[in-house]
Amino acid sequence: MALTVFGIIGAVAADTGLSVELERENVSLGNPVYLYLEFTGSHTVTRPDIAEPDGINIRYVGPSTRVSVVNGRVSQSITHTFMLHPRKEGEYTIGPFTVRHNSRSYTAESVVLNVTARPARPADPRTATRQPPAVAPGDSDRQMQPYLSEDIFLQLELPKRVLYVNEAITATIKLYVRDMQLEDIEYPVLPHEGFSSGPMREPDRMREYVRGQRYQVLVFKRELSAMREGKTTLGPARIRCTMLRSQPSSARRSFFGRGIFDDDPFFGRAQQRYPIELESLEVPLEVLTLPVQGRPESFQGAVGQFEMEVGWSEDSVSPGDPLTMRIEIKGRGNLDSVTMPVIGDPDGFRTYDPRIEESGRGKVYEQIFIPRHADAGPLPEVRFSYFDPEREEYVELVEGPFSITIERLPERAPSEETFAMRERERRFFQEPGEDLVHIKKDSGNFYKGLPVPWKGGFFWAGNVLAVLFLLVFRIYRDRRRKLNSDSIFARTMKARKKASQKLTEAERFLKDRQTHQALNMVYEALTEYLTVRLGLPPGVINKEELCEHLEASGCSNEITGDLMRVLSFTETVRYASSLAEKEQIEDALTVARRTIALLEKRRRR
Amino acid sequence: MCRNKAVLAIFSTVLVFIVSGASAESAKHEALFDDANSAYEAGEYHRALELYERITEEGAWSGAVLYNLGNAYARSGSPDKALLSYRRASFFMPRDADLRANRSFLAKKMDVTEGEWGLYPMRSIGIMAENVTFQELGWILSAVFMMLAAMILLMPVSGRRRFLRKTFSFILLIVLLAGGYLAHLKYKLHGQAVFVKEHNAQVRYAPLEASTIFFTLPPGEPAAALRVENGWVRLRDVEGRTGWTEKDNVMFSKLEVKGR
Repeated sequence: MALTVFGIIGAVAADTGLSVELERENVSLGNPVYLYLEFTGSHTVTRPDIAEPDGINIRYVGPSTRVSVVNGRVSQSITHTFMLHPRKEGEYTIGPFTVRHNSRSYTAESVVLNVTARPARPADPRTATRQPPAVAPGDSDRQMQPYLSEDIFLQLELPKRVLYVNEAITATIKLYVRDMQLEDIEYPVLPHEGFSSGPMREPDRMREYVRGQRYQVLVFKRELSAMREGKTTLGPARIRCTMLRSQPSSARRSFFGRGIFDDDPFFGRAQQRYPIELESLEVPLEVLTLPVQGRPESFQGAVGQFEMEVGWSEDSVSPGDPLTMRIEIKGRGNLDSVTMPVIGDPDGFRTYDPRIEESGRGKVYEQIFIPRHADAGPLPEVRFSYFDPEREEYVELVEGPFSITIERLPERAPSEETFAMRERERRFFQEPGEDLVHIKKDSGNFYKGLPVPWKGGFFWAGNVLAVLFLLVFRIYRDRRRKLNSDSIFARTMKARKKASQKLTEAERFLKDRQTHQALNMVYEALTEYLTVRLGLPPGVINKEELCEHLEASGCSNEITGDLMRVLSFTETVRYASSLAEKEQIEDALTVARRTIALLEKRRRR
Repeated sequence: MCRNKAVLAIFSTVLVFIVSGASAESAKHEALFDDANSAYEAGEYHRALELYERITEEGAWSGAVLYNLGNAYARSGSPDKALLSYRRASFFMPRDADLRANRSFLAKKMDVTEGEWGLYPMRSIGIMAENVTFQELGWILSAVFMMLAAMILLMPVSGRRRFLRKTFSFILLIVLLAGGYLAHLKYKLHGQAVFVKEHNAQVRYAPLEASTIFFTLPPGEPAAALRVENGWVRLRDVEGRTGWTEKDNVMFSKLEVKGR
């Protein structure tokens, strides 16, 4: 192991050096070009400072490193990539370039870049992408993991680097593989901020020779169109897959270092699986705005190369009969930018919103015209404009006007509204098996507006009354229950009622001048009520005891005195058979009522 | 006694007058309804439309009138207005199978959303609320309220059934509150519901013509109007997006009598 390490160090020390490579020497104005500074022998060298000549902007893209072991020999390098963006025509000398490593300076010669005027078109579309550098395809390892450098890499290609807003281009992502097996290959991911994109197409397989080496290539394609002007970048594209690598089993290794079954696909090698992710470089782009000069009035944003075909359903129609104009736009370009062609003002026709369908590489618009009368003019002209990015100019396609025959009807034509209605009905109910359910014959109840019950007072009054009813029922039920379960309460309630009845009877006797009976009634009413209400023993009332109870019940002395007086008087008259005056009886009645009312009031409290 | 008889006689006369007036009005609307139906069946949809609309303009609404009006609109090529009429008819007969079929048929034809209740959980609540009329909802809530009142007033406050009383009272209270909220929501949405008119409605970020268009709604698409000011309506579509559109772009589903 130690020997191996020394070997590596020795090999690295021998190959140290700095080289420079310009992507291409001639470039048109506006097209960026890459400059690669590769330092071999170390992967830790920092980037050099490059003087920016007047007329060229230089931007540092980033470093990429490589470490490879071939036949026990280790080589390592770092490549610093710069993007040069020419702003003026001319010949520019960039460099020389100097870096320092282990206290030594390494220098690379300067390079010359020729910038020519626009139009800027890359000569070879593939030059828009980063190519594997001159030495070998393995040098494309700037786009991949270092240890996979010679066998697998990912490349993002665009047909051009300068394009117009809304122009459609196809981004191609190529996965190059050599001498290895892959599985679980996922669709590549391509960040495309500022671009609208279509779906990734099914990949194609092909073989391709790169610098003399044959590669299996998996090609993914995706349509893109730029949405805003300015300088931008696309990518890097990334792809994930699992790499299978055969490794000879150590148990089977022979004395000479190679197993006898190593080449046998069944016994020779064990497959090792490595999940890997590959990444391509970013591709710089410039998106140009569409020119204002020469823009036709009918231009609505379509970019590409298109053709227009116009046809119609009938050569001859009657007023009110629909005539469908079919406009098909097809060709190459961004179909999303294609909108309805401009149709002139139709004289004497009624129109409706067009029906739009996409078909293959085109769009079909169906516009319905209904002649209002037999003198309706020809069908108007149709104009469609697009910007051709190849020719860099606007193109306007014009078809029409179209003459059609409108037949006069032999009898009075139905109204225009009826025609329109018939057409609209036809459009809605044309499919068999589908129609509206028929109208209703019974009108049902009519309401003055929306019947919302809680908007009316009846709803709330009904609810309140129902609750009141429940409340009354509850009170009545509770009272009944108490009367049944509480005998004292029941007797008290009955006593008041009975006393009240007797006093009323006493009044009647008094009215009939039956004073004796009247006094009897007053006495009975009072004694019975007081016996029950104050809980006195039945029979003759003891006055002292009664006084005590009345005072305890909160009766004033005056009332107690009056009651005692009335009781004495009634007793005297009843047993002494003496006559009583009407006023005295009335007074007794009043006192009796007042006392009962007072005691009832106290009870309720 | 004589005075009481006189009051009773006046009251009876007024009552008879009101009832006979109402029935005369109803008979007139019935006749219009029959004429409109005849016109519809003869294929004179415009005539049918006029007659149905005359009934509603006089402030007489019924589920059948609005349903037939929807059919007439659909036949005469105004499916947006037809959807509006079906929506209004559903206030009166929400569970009517014909109404549902026609509404669904038109919504599918026009490729618009059916119902304007929007996102979850409103959609689930909306489905419940759409199946009952306001009247039914009112009576259900009244019944629940009565049951709750009876439970509180009549059930014993102690003893073995106390727990049952409390549990049922709590459940009824929850049902009452939820139902009340549902009724409130249904009524609120009834007032807010709008349908896009014949052409696509451009919904903008602000109530200005110069404002950026946020999204567009197709004809017949339902939405909820949140605010109306200066000829603009702030609405929310079924996906929950809100924006402003011109008032002329939408029709309100709230029942309104013209000229009042």
